[in-house]
Amino acid sequence: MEILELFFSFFKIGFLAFGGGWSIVGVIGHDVVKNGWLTSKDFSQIVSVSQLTPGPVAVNVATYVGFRVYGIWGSIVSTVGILMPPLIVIMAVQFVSKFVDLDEERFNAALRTVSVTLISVTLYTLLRSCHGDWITLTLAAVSFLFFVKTKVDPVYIIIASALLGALMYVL
Amino acid sequence: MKKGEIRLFDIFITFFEVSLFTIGGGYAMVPVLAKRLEKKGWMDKNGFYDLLARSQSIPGPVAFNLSLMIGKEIRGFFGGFVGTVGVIIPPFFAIILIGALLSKFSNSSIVIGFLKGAYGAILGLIGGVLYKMMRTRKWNYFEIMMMVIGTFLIVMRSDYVIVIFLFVIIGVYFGDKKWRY
Repeated sequence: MEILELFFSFFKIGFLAFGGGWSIVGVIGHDVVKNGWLTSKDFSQIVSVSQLTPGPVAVNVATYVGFRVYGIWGSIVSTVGILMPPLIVIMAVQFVSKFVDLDEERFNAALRTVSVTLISVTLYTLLRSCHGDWITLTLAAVSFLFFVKTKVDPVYIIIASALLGALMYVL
Repeated sequence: MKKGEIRLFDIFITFFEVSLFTIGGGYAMVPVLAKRLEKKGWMDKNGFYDLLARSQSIPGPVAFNLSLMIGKEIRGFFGGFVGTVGVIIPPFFAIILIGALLSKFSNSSIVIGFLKGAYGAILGLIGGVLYKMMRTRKWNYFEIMMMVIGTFLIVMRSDYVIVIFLFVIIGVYFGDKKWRY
């Protein structure tokens, strides 16, 4: 049953979603390509669309992957799958915190180490799937500089870069 | 206003609207939601940022965790439920709609170029996020070693779940104790 595999794949990944959506996009891409559900080229399109649509990136990616693999039902299954873990953890934390005294500062430091690791994996996965396309890489470098050096809203950086991309591929 | 008096439908609509009109992921939603909740008198800024901090140390998208916690805080279990449903519905249908449309135009070179351009910006932004995260504080050798080994392990082997849980445990129990003092 492919639809069950879809659910468990996203359910598993949902537990790892620490530190913002970008931490798990790479892992999703890794799984999706490994399972033969989509090609890395398809996946890179899904990432672009998910960032341009309202809502959390990771959930959008999950919804879209589900939709591509198994239609509407796939999208429901993958969305529920990725959102169950936070639900379980929120309830568990409330329960466990009555008995265990966790050093929050230390826990957060550990989580930050994990998020940096996961985001590095995402960057690596996404870089690999653009296959050395120089237009994409140039736009990436320029966007990086704009994001780090100026206070421009990231949404505008993405839209400007998308329009430039459209222009360059048409010409 | 007494807590029980807030209507579930109001909670739903509030989260629905904020989710629908903020593009750019969970964090784009945060300031808009904070302002809206304060204006409605449901929650003050301090309470909001308290919950935000807590929602960040739990796995899952911030927007989702936050709406669940806020809804629960102001109207109990069902408040949390309608809040999260409100947040999830707009992106869900947006994706399905765009996904269906896009499969029709996926051969058009304008669409391909547009998406590739966006992809480029996303690569740059992720690089930027990493850069900023690395600079927010001093990392000790232990943490840097863990990050390099971890990235390598996940990229080379597919067993990322075990790697990550080991990391959290090692980080929590040995990280600070051994190296910082």
